[in-house]
Amino acid sequence: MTATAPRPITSGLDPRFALSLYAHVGEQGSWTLESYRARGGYQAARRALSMDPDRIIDEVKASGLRGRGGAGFATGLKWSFMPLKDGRQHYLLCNADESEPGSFKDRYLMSEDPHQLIEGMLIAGYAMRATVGYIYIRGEYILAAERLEGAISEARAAGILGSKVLGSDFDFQLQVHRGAGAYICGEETALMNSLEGLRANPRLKPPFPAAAGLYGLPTTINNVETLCAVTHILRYGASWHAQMGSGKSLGSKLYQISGPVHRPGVYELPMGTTFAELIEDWAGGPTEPIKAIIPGGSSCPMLPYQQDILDLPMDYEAVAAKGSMLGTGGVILIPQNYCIVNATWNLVRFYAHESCGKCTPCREGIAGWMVHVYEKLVRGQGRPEDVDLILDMSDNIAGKSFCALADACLGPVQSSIALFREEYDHLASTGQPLYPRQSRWLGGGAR
Amino acid sequence: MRYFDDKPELVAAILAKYPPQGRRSSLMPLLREVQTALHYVPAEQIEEIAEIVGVTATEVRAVMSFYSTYSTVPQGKYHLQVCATLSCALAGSDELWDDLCETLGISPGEVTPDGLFSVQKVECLGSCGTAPLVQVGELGYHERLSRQDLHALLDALRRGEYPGPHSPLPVFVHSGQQEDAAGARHGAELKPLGENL
Amino acid sequence: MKVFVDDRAVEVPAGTSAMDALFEAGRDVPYFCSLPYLSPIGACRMCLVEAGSPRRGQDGQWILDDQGQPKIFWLPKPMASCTLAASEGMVIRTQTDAVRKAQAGMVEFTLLNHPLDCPTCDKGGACELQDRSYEYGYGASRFVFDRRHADKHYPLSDLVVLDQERCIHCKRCVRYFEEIPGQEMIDFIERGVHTFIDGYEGGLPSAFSGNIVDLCPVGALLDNVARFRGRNWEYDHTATICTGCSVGCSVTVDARNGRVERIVGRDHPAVNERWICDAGRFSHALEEEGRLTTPLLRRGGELVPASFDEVLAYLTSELVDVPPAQIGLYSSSDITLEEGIALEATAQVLGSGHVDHLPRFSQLPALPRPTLHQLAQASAVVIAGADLGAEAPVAELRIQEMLRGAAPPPQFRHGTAIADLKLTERMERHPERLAIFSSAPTSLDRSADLVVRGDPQAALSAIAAALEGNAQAASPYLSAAELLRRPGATLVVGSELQAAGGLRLAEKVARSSGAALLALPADSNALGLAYLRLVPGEGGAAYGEAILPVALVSRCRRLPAQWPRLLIVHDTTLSALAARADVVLPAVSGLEKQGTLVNLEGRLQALRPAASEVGEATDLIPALGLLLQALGLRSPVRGLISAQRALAQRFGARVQSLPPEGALLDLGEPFLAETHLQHQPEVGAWAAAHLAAARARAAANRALEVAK
Repeated sequence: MTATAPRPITSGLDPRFALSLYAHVGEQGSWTLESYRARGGYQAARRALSMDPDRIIDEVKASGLRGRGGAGFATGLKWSFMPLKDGRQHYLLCNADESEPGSFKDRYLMSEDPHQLIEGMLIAGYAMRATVGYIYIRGEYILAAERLEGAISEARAAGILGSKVLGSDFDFQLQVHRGAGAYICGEETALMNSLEGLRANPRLKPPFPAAAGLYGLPTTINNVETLCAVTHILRYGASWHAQMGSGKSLGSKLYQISGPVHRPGVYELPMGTTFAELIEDWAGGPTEPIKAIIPGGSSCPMLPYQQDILDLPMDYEAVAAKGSMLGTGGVILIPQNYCIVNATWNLVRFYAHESCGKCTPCREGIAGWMVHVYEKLVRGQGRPEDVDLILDMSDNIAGKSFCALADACLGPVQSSIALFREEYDHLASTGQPLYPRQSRWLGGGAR
Repeated sequence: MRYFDDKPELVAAILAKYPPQGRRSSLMPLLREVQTALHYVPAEQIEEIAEIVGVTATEVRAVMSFYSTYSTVPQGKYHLQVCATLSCALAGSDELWDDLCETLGISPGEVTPDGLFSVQKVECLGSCGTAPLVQVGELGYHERLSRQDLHALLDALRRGEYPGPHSPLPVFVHSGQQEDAAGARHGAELKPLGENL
Repeated sequence: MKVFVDDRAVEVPAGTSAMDALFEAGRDVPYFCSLPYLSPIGACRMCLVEAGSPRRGQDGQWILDDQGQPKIFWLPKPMASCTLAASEGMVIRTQTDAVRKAQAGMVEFTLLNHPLDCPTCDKGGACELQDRSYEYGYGASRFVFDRRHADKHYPLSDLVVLDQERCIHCKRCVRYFEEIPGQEMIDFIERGVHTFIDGYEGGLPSAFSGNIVDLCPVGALLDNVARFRGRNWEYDHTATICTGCSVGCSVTVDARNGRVERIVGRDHPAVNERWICDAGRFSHALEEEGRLTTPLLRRGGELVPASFDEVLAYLTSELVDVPPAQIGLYSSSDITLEEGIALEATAQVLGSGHVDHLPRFSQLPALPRPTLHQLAQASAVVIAGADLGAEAPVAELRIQEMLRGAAPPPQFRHGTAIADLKLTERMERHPERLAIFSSAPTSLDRSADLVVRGDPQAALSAIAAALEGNAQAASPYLSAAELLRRPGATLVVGSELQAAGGLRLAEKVARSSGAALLALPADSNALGLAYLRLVPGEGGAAYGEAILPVALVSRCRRLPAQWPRLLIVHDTTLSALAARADVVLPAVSGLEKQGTLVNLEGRLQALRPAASEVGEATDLIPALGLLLQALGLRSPVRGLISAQRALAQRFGARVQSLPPEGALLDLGEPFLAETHLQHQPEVGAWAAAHLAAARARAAANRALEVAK
């Protein structure tokens, strides 16, 4: 008689749910090697180094881990694209460029518990025969970079990085490369160009990074959270990971929530936790009425703040079924009385500022035009036709740009018009927003 | 005035991070060194870096100008960057920005007469849970910044006393357990491999 | 593989891009960022098509649809055809409503920040943006905002002017500099919509900077020498060959109102692809200064304009007692084969052995000549005693191609592949494949791993010794020998080596290593003229070697060591030599004649005269005819037709009907003789002279303005 599979864990309130990624964030000295070792750090690495590298890839596949940087691509599958016996230098890159508005989870992984990232990269490097790793961290994360460098120094001194790590035959060098303020560097091929010291335009695919990546050599790029999850998968097992979440969205996830809510922040919860649980049970509920929810970072189309959405599990499939994406899990709540056109303009400005300028629809359509039409609307100089113009411009941009940045901008643009057309029309025809501007700055301060 | 001539170990350490065919990768760290020390990258250093890396000055400028961090014009001793993206805007970052510019009497690209301050509006700094904030140059973030806090910060900087970053953690974890909004803590204990099922 | 484009099927080689496949099928798409010979990058997004491919099932067979046809799995979004690899059975749609809307929308975006400069822009009428907007655009723009402003009259150098506002960010110019000459002179600055083109090298210190004005699809990069000289539709275009050096690049000469205004590169995949050097492009302005349009005769110590009749009368009386066999005939080495055979015939009629053409070398290689295509695909190149930048600039570009290991793009019905997927940005270069031995710095030094300063002949001797096994380990000569031993290696030797009589040594090295030997000819037709009897005969004097009673010198600028008693100079301008002559006959320039040149490959190519007003200037044949008439003699070669007939008899070539790509022919045995005249290659030296002239002209204009 076969045992029935245990019920999946899809709520942070489930008593079986255990924290792993953020378990020690906030503890004094949590970023030191001493603290990390005291809680069993680098056990997973030792285990991995005693395994066949291909078995590690199998284990990651079995865990169901999907890339946590937004794309949600199956991690084990991605790793298996690396050539096995080509004899060339392989590279493992950690995408720590975290610049998607609404995302701030990787930051604290690096500043508060960097050794789990180092351990994850060591395991991943070993699995993919990559003896050199780079962490591309956005330049503004000063403290995180400092703590990472400190942790790497400790690891080198302790023989965890360098040649023949942890007494094995495997060499692994890790370096930190700091960015300098460009969101496009979060795109994996632009990241490689930036790391190579070129202008950070994205590259053509094919060739894919596993075939020709950094310096033209086989490369895999993974998000910070993904690599940290690898550490825990190797420590606690693929089936432990797969018991959290359900369907094709497995494991735990660092969800972020910002906007007018009582306790904005990062919450580690199992995949499949509902929006309602995150917003109410964990973040203490909104501080004012909400009309829209961005589910996973600004590139994800907005969803209406209503019960069927709140009851959705926050996983890749369920959110996609509603026409949006889970992305990085960075939830942003948009208040009822904040002009949606202004909110969208804010995001269009973001994409316009971050456009690399390589391709025409993004450079001209978004940075050259869309941002001006929005400005005109918000300043009360719009015309009724402007809303349809925005939709037609979007149609001429959608799917036609070189990389996904332009399409990312269209996420909030098209969804906000679909959901809040009356706000747009009102502003375009009267010159006045339905929801006039209010002061929102913390006055006396809630420190 | 050359910058790197008397810092050979620094240059060597930077170059050593990358393989021989990746010499160009040292462009960004070399630029950052100069930007942090001099508060901008003078034309002479652009030439110097071009020489060290083995590329044309045009290429150094092309790469440098792509990013928001490197500047060709001098910035203040304390370069104040205000995040303007949505989550910060929802917390009043536009008001913060107006107050800052008015108080200092400068616009982006300018430096206060005492050479202390310059301002720049930037995009999402990854501090959405502790919005709004100001980043002070290479020193750190100042988050959940109220009007009072902003002015206190400016006063401290005017006195030449950088108070250290203020980055409260928007994470509610204690001893491996996560605290919900009602104050209850949740989180099972992780057991070794194979025992967690 | 078979590819379907709209209603047609077409066969293309594996690896072809969807763009080339659809052009091969006779369809088209707009494009700005693609360009033959450059990497395709998919930036402009104009060439979007709908595409789909069949897939094979587990059984290896095509998955079929309901009608039993291979099911087409359509790609979810429109694809840039330039960066999409065509595959077996792919279906490409270029005419659907979605494609047309995408094209129109993209035109609207491209025009968004583009200034309405057409009325005053030099590119008007030959502008890819105008043409594509007209063909694919909406016809009107909905953009109501102020356009981006930037520098509009920004000289990147004295020769190339940039209008930053007109730039549509296709990146052709940036990629050109990195990929073709390998010099990163300009790049994009800033990002997003603020991006603009600039360079920080102090001008454009490249000998090939002018090609960016050809390839810019709009009027952003323009020829500063030809600026505002005419509208594109006013020009008479003449397809001809540049006579600046022995590469023989194809060019188009644009003339207006009888004046040559501009020279533009022309496509010739085997020789210069589509590139020309700055000397070939910009030096026409210099050469136009002080053109002679009538003969000059010395009267009372001064050279004064005269008619041909007056010159004839003068010569007839002066030559009456001169034995024809004592008359010297000397010409430059850039005269055509037709002029050359006329010169040869004249010398025979005169019975004179005082004949020479300069510059030239004393020897020619007795080995087959490699083509430029072969040079571009060589496995290694060793250069001895040559500075390609001074002797054959565009050959340097073919060597850059070799260093990138980029095979030349394939040819299709529509010409060279527009989007060759084998070319990528920043391809790895292999400087270990190039070695240079010369006594002075050369333009290719920066691209070679092995550069040795010293006497190139001594170097070749050492390499020859190394090939025989006599060399120290790790010596550069051993390394060079190893490079030359590679199958497909080429040895290039130039003036420094050949003038010193080192060609036989070079041949020995080539034979013993198996490498091909490319000996750079001394001038644009020096190779061709070597196959005519144009060297001193028995007892004949080379140029300036003897005091002759009479000498006719055509287009040499060099002052002779010994002067003839009566000097007839045939030249385009009043050079220092012409200023000392008794008779000056006006000559047409290389751009103004019809004839045949032989380039360094041994390729015969046709010159066509530009629509330039030349006054009474002629090529050498009438000048020789005048001399003979004064002597009462007649030559069998009296004009172009008789010259062509003579060449046909001599070489078996109908030079008047050469195919467009020219013809590589065996020209038989050369006529060689020792020469002691040292040759200083000076293709690169034009720039300084040009700039000095330009500044003088500008100063003169300013003086005029002030005077007004």
